[in-house]
Amino acid sequence: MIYESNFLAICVFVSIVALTLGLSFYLGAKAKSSEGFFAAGGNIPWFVNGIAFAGDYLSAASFLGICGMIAFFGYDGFLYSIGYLAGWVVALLVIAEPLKRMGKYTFADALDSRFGSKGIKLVASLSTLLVSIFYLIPQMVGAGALVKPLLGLPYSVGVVMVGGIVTLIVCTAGMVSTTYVQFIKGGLLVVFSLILTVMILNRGLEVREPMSALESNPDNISDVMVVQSRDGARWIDGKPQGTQPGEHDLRSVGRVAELPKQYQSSKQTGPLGPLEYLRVLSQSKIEVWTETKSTVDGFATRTFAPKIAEGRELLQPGNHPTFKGIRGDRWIEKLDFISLMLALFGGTASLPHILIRYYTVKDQASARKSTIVGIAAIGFFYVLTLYIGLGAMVSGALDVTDPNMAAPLLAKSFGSWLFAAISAIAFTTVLGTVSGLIIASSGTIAHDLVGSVMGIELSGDKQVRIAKIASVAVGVIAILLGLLFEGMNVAFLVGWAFCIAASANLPSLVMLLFWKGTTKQGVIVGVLVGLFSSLGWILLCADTYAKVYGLPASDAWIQLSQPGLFTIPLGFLTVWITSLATSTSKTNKQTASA
Amino acid sequence: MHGPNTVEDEDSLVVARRTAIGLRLLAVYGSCYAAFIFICAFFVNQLATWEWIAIPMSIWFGMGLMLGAIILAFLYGRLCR
Repeated sequence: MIYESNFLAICVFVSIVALTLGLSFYLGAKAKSSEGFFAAGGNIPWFVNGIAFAGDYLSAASFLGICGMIAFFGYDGFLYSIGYLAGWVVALLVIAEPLKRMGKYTFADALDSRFGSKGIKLVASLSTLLVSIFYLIPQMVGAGALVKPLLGLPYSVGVVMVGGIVTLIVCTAGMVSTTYVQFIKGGLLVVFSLILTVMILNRGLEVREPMSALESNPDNISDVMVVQSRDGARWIDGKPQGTQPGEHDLRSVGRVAELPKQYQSSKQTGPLGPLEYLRVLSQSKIEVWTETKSTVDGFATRTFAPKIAEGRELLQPGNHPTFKGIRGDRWIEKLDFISLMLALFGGTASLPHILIRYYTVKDQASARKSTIVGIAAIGFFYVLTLYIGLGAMVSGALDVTDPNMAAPLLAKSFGSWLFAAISAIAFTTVLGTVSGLIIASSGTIAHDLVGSVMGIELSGDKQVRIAKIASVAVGVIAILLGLLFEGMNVAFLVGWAFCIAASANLPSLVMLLFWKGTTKQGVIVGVLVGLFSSLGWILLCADTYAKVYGLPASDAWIQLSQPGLFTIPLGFLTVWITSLATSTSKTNKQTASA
Repeated sequence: MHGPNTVEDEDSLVVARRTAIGLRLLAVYGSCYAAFIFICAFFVNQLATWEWIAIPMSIWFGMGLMLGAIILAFLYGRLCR
């Protein structure tokens, strides 16, 4: 679809960016020491920290990706919501308080709390940087992809703009400004998602007639939409995409085709309650769109065709290609699903940019309380994603070529002010998450690699200066990766970041907390085995062959695309066996609890 | 609600009690989550036939896990006071 830049959206976006930058400069004075820069001096109120958890965690993948997936495939997007939230239970019940007790600035601090080992610092830093980069790429690509339809700016401008703004935010006040940016973003996201959900329920459901293909494209004789890439330009139904004579554009889609009997005369329900909305939708018939990829006349061609589906069917798992396998008989696809859900469960509690937020509050009780606030905010938001996604599904505003635009386009169907607000919030989701990732990466470079591994004694001021230089470097790398991966489907990288984090970090962290026999060798080998086994598996799996290398999935060395089911237990096993094998070394063995 | 970062020296018995509470609650939630995943993976066709008050059971399970996580978080907070 052709998107026109929205002046209101630009104004709201500029206002939010100005607010966050202004706040960053204002707070800059509080972050001159290393304690202030890396951990906000431990002075962040627990409630603010809890909402900042939500701001840090709810990335563009959560907001745009999940809503888009629900809008096009129904329940399957909600499976991600369930998995992402479940991971927070692990974080609260197992990790939060011990981590606050053990660490100071970084994830490596916690892992190394018993040993004082350069090796642990090195592998923990490596893991932090790798997980952060896996997480950064989709955020930056998302930023570039968003700026084009929402603000009318080129992709590269979006990537550079977000990278530049975030680097500035981190450099001015480190964790202090990052926290407040995430607090603002988390708060705005939950509040506006609630507003959007209330409007969806108030609108209810109504039968919409399909927009005639002839009305949109006089030359088209079917309801099918054909999208081709020709010499870098997009063609729709055999004509260049555009709104001028001789050009074609895509139709907006997504509608209720038939309501239950009691509404068939009025063809609309009026306002519905939250349960009633789900009940009526479940009994309705919905028009959904299927995509077929092919090559026609030498051009890559995507054909979109409408299909009427039972609402009830859409509220079941197994519609999206990722989850389709669970409806079949092949065990490998069922294991893939279990493996992904396991990685989501274990990954949250081992994401370095989330873990460092435990150091920004004053004590363990605050760490616990802030996690509870975070769970409440994140859980509430994820419940809302179901309504936003389903609301978009029947809004008549969807762009078949871009599921990620489902939530903003749904907002647009309610009015330009809501579109402007949701668009601006979509950008802040990127700002909040990227700033968290950059501070986690710069912290581990300055504090762990330079300070501990290289053994360079640094005063607080110098450590902060190095962290700021590292922030700029990571920001530049993030921009370059964003430009490099343009056009690539990178949403799955978030799932892989979870898997790598769960395989590399979680086993060592949990074993350290609950088994006194854990040795430093066990931690080092455990992190390395978890890291490289999951990474190697990912590089050789069917999903990567198809989505990254563009090769047939059947050529892949490993058909199971989600390694967590094997690499997470492997990580635990490695820590255990290595610790047993090295426990004779008295210097490594710990007798006291952490 | 806030103050400077402090070095904590908590009673080991208190820490052990909290750990035990946390692990028990995790076992409860983890079992529910595992059961849901198991049903989705191996009984997805049967899942499609179950409903309550005309709302599919998949929705109830999903919402239950979400609200369960929130309730459990507050319960843990209360038990740790």
